[in-house]
Amino acid sequence: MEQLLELQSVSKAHGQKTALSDVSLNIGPGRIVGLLGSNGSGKSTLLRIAAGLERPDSGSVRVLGEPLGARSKSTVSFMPDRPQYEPWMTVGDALDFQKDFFADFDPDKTRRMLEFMKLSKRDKASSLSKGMGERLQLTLALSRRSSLYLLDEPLGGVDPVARDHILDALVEFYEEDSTVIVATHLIADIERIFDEVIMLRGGSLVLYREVEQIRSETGQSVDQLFKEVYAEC
Amino acid sequence: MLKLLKYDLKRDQFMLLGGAFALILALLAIEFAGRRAGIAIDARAVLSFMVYAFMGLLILIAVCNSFRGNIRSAGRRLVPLGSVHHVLSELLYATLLVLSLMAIAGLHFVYYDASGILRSLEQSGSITVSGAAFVPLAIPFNMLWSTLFLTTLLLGVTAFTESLNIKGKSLIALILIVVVLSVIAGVENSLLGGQNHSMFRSFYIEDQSNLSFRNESVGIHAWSFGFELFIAAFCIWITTRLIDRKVTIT
Repeated sequence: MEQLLELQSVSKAHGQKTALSDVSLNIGPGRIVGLLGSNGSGKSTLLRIAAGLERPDSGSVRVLGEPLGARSKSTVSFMPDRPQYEPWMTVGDALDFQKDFFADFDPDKTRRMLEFMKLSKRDKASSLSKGMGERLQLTLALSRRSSLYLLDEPLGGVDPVARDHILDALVEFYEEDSTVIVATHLIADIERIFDEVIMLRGGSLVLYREVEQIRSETGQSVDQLFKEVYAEC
Repeated sequence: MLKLLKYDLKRDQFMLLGGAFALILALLAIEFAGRRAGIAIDARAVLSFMVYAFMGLLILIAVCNSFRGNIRSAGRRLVPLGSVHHVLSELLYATLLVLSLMAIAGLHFVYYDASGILRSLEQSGSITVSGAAFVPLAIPFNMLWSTLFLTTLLLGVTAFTESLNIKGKSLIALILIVVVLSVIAGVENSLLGGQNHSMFRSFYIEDQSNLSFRNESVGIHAWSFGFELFIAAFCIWITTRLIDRKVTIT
């Protein structure tokens, strides 16, 4: 089976600080993967590298067998932890931008998502609240029929009601044959949707396992295991 | 590339329209209020020229700001296009703005010609035109090329400073561009016979009320153009490498 995302011995440092250290992973299609770790564990760096926004210092990364570049960017849909839309844009402009640059943009799905998220095309992006901004970010990411979705902290800083709404949207609108990697540390809220989890600590891979396997082998939830692993930090 | 330019234009549309409005207002003020205030015709022409030069400077600043924002923006960098598209779209943006400025200047020139102002400026010696056969074509071409060449260098310097993780990037960029321009001018002069191959070699302001438009020694300029073309291509290559490898995305 062809791997969707392959990382081999990937290392990355930001100045003196190690962000990723010798990380190797193979992620297949049709999975929802939780990328877990405390702040500064390397989650965002890993996603940014896979999205083509950063280059690893060493090691190799392939998306659907392609090295990082313009072609890999066309198959990856990334939701960064900060707004990817520009402050001058309306919601409509931000969606037009996606439509203009990505061949896999799906107008029908976008229309349904706008309705679900209660967003109007006329809304000015810079005037949206934090929660509505996250909804727009998720709409932009899921408006495409991509093979790989990378979501960096989609639940960060939003209230529990908005959090549930965002999770519902994620389950409703992701493509079933594609893979979603969700970086988060709000595990209790989201672990029900994960098939697999990856845990990073200090830039190194600590654990990569199926959620069912964790539950059957340890008798713990992912949240409990996470607290146990990171209690030592 | 054109799609990137489309979003630059959409973003900056109010600034550009405001800038065009301010330019026309300033030119009208110089012409009509200046006439009423008794400012001499040659002084008005030089003042107008200074306004165009100032607008040219603002265009360069606007293009650099746009480029700086774009190469640091996650949204722009996620699009499936190579880095060279980001550089070329800004060069296209600069071309478009300079052509618009030249279109306004062209209309101004037509007004001067039709109203007889141009003839009286030439008769009084306030404007000198030499190499007359080439001037109408050479001046716009030189202006456009000079702007593109300078923009290419500025984009390179911007990409370099955005690769640094330190404070005072604007000051570093300013110093760097002065150094780079001096080095290029020095190399150009030493390689091409020690003549002054300045960027704006078609215009001279000889004193506070005298403008000269010249187009001289076409052969030497062709070598100079070739040299600058090589530098520009090299600079674009360096800029794309810096964008790919070093520029920090926010």
